Amino acid sequence: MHFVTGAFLAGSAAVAAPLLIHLLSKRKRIHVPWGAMQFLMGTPPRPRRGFLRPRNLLLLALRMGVILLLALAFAQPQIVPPWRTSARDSAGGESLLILDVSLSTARKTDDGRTALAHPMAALRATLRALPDSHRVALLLASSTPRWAIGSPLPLSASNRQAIGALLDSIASEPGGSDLCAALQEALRLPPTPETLSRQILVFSDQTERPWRVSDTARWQSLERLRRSLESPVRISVPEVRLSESALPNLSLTTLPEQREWISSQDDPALLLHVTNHSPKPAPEGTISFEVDGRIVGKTRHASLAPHASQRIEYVLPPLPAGIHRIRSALSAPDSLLADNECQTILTCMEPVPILVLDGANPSQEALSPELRFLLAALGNPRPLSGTPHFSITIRPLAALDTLELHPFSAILLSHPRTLSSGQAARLSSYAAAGGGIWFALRQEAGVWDSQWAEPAMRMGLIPPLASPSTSLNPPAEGWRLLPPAREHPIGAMLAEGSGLDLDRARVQRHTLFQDPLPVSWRTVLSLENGSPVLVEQSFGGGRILVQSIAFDRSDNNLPALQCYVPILRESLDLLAHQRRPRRNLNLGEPFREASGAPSEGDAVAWIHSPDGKRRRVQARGGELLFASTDMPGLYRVGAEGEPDRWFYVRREQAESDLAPWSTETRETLAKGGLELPGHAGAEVPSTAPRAPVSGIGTAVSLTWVCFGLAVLLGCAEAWVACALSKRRMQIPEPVAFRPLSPR
Amino acid sequence: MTSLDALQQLVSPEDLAVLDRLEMLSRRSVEGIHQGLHHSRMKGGSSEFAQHRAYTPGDELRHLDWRVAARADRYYVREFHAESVLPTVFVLDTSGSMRFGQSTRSKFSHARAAAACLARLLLSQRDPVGLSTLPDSRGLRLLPPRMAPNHFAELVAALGMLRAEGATLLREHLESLLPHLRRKSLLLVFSDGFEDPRTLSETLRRVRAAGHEFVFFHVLTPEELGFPYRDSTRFESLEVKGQHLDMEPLDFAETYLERMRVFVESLRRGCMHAGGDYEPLPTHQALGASLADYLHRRAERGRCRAASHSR
Repeated sequence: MHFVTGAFLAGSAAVAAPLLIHLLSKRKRIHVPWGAMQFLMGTPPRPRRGFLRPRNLLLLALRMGVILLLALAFAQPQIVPPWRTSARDSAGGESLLILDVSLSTARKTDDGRTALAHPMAALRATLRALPDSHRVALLLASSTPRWAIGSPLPLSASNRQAIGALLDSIASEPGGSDLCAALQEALRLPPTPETLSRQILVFSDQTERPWRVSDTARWQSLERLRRSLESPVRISVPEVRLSESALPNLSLTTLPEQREWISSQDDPALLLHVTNHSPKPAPEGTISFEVDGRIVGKTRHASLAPHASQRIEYVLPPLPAGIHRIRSALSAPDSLLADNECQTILTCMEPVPILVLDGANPSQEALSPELRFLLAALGNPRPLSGTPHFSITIRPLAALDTLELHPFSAILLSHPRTLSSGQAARLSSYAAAGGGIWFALRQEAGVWDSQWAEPAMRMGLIPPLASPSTSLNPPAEGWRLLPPAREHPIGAMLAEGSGLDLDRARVQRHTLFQDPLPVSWRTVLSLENGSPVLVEQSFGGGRILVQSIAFDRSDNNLPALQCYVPILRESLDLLAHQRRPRRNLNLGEPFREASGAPSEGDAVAWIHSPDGKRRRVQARGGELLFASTDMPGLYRVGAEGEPDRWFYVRREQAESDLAPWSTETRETLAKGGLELPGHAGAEVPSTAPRAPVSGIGTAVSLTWVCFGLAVLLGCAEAWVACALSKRRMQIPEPVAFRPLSPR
Repeated sequence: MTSLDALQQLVSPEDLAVLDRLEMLSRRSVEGIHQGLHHSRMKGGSSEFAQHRAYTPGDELRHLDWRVAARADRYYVREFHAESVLPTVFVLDTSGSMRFGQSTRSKFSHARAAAACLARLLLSQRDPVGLSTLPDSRGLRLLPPRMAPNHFAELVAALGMLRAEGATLLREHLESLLPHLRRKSLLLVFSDGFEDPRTLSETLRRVRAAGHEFVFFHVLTPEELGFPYRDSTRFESLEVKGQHLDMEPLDFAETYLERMRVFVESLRRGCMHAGGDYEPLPTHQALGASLADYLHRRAERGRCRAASHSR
């Protein structure tokens, strides 16, 4: 039996009212001096207390019964009809077992076992206690709840053996669990036709993190789901007792600002965070670093106060071009070893392929002045490595009709005055697929023709141009160029290089954009009079930069300044970055990688998850997309004929927090209807569950039965009370007292 | 203190009114308790005609009925009942149970008032009246029957001094009284009779066998007759100090009433078999009505008996 509105059961406490009334309304005994004692001798002994008299006890029982039945009726009891249970040999009981296998269950406890062993033992005890006719399903609460036994199995001997073997194979997983999501998943499991009653048992290591009670919206959603069920399902959390280890709990994570793409000229630097999660100080220790399985170095971290952390920056030896797995690990003894290491994927690039389309020099017989500046700025090798950062391909603008654009990370268009509609469409497709385009609009003195820009403006590749498009600066030195905003990547770079000479930059002539700019465009560099010089916008998956001055110094002095080179390189890096896959992802962040296949459907890759599973992924739209990054760890991407690639999903640092669930959390969950240790009914069940399953329709409401019985008992009480009152009021026939008849 | 003052202490004004009514009643129709009932077997000088008898030589001529002789030409002698004086002794039960009276006055008060009323009535008819009380350590206390004018005051004073206490010893009282009665007497017994009805009947039979008349006035209260108790009650004995009984009257009312019914009937039948009168004297009934009713019935009975004697 279960109750739809169990709170009304509290009303059953009112059964004490008749008892109190009986006790308080005890009548005072009357004293009568009496002569005819001989006629009273031999009376049955009177009970000591009036309320213990049978008639009063009967009335008391009836009144208490009425109150109890009314309380039951308001609580809306429901039962599974006995004929159903008997007909199917009580086979309708079903338990959905949720086992928390989150990262925290991997910690060691005081008895040397892992924390997972304790809820596992409770789960096994529950299985032993359940009858053979019972059905069980098993849901593993990891980062994404998944059914280990998705179809409830009867607990036959063979199934018990199989379930035992399955439990033996279950281990802690690197991600955190979300028990609210697991409960929702369990509640959504459709009942089988054999199911008559169902309960959900949650076996957790009772840490605070998996419950996430602060996410009230999701718990309210769970509550709504429970309420929407036709018959509520009992959810209980059996008691699991474990004693925590005395060891500290350190964790090692990669910082979000870690740069994952480096050129062969850059120093590969790692940014790490060591955090002490335990309430006791941690001594100093060693962090070791491995690159592709080879130990490359070690460093030390300081001793850490409770809940303190330290930022570690470690510079690795130069790496060859390619994708590298950098594993960092703490070597100190720790209660939770699973969070003592982290990985970082560093991609050391070959020179970034850049296509320069020169619209000013169709013959390509000699380099135009603009390109000379460009090549000077981009092509200079670093003094030490001697390797150029960019690989520059120069083509005339007309080559845009036939040239394959996909291999290039960015395209620079210098003086694109002959851009056709077809070429603009190709550029548009390229940018939409993630490519970066940089337009440099040269404005010649006294000449204005905006017809050439129509296709590009129509495609949205450049912002609308204003007329007149030329503004000659009255002062000879031109307008001053204002520094970019700090939040922009270029601005951040220039802020770091504070000694650079951007303040000396002057512009004598430039192309005017229509004021105001469309909202999709953002000003990066502007003149002191407010006219934008460099604007950018996101275009599909790519990015477009448009500058209103030429690359050379025909209308400005920027190419002659020191700041020109970093502005150019950082901007190109920014453009090229759009086509670089991110390989260090946050939990749940999808992995995207440009597919090498020219047509959709040809590229197939296999992604190996940290849990050992392999999933097939097919490229769509020239892009490989994998969204199931719900488990932290290293993922391997393999494709036929291609070398293996890697990406890493970071573990959430909060998962290392092993704080036990607080009293507030317990109370919150108990208020939400969960039966918890220390609250009512949280023991390991020894019999079949009681709650009927939603949607089966076998539960019968006893509400009206209770009401009817209450009315019957009420009538019986009234009848007995009337009879007793009548009896009290009834005057017995007195003794006939007559004389002798006359003789 | 006059005898009337003493009487007023025993009886209520209503009883006094009853007394006057009884006196008037007796003068008019009843003519006392004894007349027509306690006549002598000897025919003789009396005002009450008994029968005609044929004249035999030796009869006194003054008894010849000359009128009959003139009509029938035969001589008949008129015979009359010889009148006798029957002393009356009041026997009052002074046991503790007589003290009971809840909605009415106590049985003892009621019995005492009835005795006083009857005593005055009898004395007014010049019948000798005596009083016997329960024997104590000094022996039986008996106020011998007399009919002197000042005897009533003495009787009322003795009644006023009586106290109801102790166990019921009516049987012993009657047994001890019998040797002191030299003449045939009428015993007017006022008691609740809370004894064994069989032994009491035996005693009454012995009283009757000794040639005495008796009238048993059974004094009971309405509570004893109806047992109107409902709530939990402690009944404390009036005869035995410290004896009490806690009970639920509602559960036991039927049993009690049955027991009382059997007792009353046994006592009534015992009186009948002993040849005496049994007269209920409930305390809730007006004393005058009870006594008047009794006197009526007794007079009626006397007339019936006289008629049967004349036939």
